[in-house]
Amino acid sequence: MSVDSLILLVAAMSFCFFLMLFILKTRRLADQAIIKMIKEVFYISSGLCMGLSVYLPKTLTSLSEYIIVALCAQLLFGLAAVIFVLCVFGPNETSIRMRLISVLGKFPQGLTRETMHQYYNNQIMLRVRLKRLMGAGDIVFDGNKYELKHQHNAFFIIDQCARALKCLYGIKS
Amino acid sequence: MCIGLHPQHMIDLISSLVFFFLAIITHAVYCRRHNQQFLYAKAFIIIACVYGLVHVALILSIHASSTRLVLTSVALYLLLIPVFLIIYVSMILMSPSKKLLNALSRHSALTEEQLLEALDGNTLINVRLEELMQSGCVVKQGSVYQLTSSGLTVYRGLSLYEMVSGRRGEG
Repeated sequence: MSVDSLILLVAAMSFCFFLMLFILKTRRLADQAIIKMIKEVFYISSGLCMGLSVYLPKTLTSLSEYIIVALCAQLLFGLAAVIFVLCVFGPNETSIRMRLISVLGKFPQGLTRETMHQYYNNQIMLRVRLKRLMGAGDIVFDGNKYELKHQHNAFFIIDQCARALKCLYGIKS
Repeated sequence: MCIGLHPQHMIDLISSLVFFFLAIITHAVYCRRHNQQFLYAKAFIIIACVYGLVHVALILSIHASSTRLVLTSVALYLLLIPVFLIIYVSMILMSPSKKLLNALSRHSALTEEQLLEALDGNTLINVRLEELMQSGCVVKQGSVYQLTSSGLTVYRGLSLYEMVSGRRGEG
């Protein structure tokens, strides 16, 4: 098997493992534990990806080929996992549009805006997000006020990339 | 066992990154000439597909050997496109969680009432509802909002996801 095919095989196997573990572990999991669980599943699958990169290729002859397989497979697996979490899991879990469709889907006769706000409103939105952010350890609650605990989280990384892009696209903040 | 990287490995990987960045730069030039309040995600997908085809044609034209990383290079290019789109969309749209974190980073600590004010969730809900109407998923009949056939398709997809994942999205 060529190095090229090995990289894809290791990345695909790691991603399948990630998906299975993800579905099993996040099934009926409370909102506050979800971000921690995603990180855990990602680290476990990354470990498996590294392990497969070392043990699976029997035909490789040089150390450089092992390094190439490990790094490229890790990169492809990481990108696929990020895409799954942010493009499939994220919108279904956190999207306001999806939540509105879900509410409207339960009432085929339709709902007025006021009735819809009874099922999904500002307070529900805040409560759900505070639970997630506190569960991830990004914010803390002292009994009266909420405080930011970690400045550098996933949102921060995406925000920094978006800021860099804004310069390229000439968009003023 | 020898140590040393094949130059062909590097060429294939670097070429996918070069074409990907070329696609971003072309898209940035395109967006700078248009209204910057709007998202041009479709334009990026078209540009990326064109560059992707050029990339594939170029790497296939080079002599094939077992040390080449053609598939990896193509896979890397394909995976980078949705990752870029996530960052591109977040450049214009502000997620509610990011809104909360921004409010907390501006002030040392905030009460729930202050956070509710910063989130302005009901406005967000109304804006998203309007967007759903524009995209043809929701229709307004009198004062009542209903799902259209495409909205129902999304709802069925959502229900299937909930069944498989065992999770109910809370929004």
